Amino acid sequence: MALNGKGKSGLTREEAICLVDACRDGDISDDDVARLTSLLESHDERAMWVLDELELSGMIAQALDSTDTNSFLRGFLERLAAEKSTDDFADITEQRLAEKGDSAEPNKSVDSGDAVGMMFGSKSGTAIEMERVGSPGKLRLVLFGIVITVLAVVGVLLLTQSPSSIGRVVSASPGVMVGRHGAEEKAIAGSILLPGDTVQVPREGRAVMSYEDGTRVKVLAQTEVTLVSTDTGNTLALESGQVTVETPGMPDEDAVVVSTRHAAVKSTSASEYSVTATPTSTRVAVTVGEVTISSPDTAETRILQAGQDTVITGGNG
Amino acid sequence: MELEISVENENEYIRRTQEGDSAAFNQLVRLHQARLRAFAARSILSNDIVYDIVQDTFLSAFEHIDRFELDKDFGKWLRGICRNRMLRYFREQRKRQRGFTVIAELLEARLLREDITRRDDSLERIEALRACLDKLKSADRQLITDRYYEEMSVKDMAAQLGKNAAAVSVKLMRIRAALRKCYEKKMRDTKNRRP
Repeated sequence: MALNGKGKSGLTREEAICLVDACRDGDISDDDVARLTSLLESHDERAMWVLDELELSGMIAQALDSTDTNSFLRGFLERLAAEKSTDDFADITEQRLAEKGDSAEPNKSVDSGDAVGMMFGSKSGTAIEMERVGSPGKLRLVLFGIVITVLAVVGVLLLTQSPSSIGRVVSASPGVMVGRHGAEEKAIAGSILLPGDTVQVPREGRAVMSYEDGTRVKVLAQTEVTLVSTDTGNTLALESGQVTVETPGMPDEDAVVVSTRHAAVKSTSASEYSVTATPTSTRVAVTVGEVTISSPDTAETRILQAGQDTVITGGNG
Repeated sequence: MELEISVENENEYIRRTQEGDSAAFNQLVRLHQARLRAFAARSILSNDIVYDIVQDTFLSAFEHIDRFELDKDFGKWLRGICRNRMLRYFREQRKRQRGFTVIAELLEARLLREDITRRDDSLERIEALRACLDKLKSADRQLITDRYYEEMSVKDMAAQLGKNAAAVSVKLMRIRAALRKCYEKKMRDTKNRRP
């Protein structure tokens, strides 16, 4: 598409694309939002070109993504299991028990639970599926199966509703590790995160995790974070590297705090911000909303708003 | 390597899922996930959001599989669910992000215009693009990776490179132009090779 010079909107392609990039990054002035709006609402050739550029950007991102079929499926199954882990599991238990109670119906298959079957990629991994209700000689085995099923469901409920879990891994590239009690495990989408866990992201890696309150944290390459939970709330300790945080906005006492050696950052309103820590400084940049930055050494606090960034160095909170 | 979708197999997996064999749904996820992610990526610029939206789509499809009529186009049904998820995402973003409204509206309007009943070639486009990315000079590939995979802001990239943000935006635009030329040629060549 030949688009030389300025379009009807009075913007060159270069000017238009700078505005689009700034807009995507949330780093755009009101005047530039107005210019971009005018361009895009014109629906002229240049506006369509911008749309094509956005489409290509999305496709490039996807072409760079290395998530393969198995990883995607694993993430899906874990998410399905997590979503089914509360009410659905209770429903399934109730339903199964009702079905088993209705044992007058001959040759009725006793299923051990869809969610568990899905987790392991088979309809059912337990022996009781093989049993048929209605054969008096096998009734005891079936009752034993029911007890085992109930125990398994209660176990899963206890695990998934553990009061100490503070979040989960949403996605993780290969090489991301979760450290717990001195041992390390590969991070898998859907894994529960507990207080004290560390998430280590290698070079060219990335992980996304979410807290129970909906706060979403992207942990970028060469970053290590530790999840700390205390009576006063959740803290994400960032030694070095970069995280970006999207929070729906929580009351002050519940807001997740990102803590580095130079600053503690939190937001109580719907916000998006990034924190980059090095041994000598911490940079905070706010894309949406506002954050409060406080110094660990002094009582000083400051508020940073959308479009602003700041660098804090040692003892200069 | 993605599995080839066979309509007979697909119908069999759908039927089994409808009858309660939840493991059969795994095969449907395997068959459709790459194509659906490619479809979503044309409107959603972040891989993480694409991943979430496509997972939501499969969760919803699994939950409502009994409503699907066998012998209808399952891919189209999934794209319809996925499109609704994307529209919901745009609506939420419009409330949250300053300046994003106008871009979200534009993408949303195009998504609403898109004919999801037509054969979707998004996956073929992304595969062609992948081959073109492999041909980029390493410095250009790094810039593209930083921006679109790592999702670095242009401002941060500029600071890292010691340039101004406009120079980085324009450089990225030129790399994209080269990628577009390459992948469109590949798509044309593929089309011409078809009997």
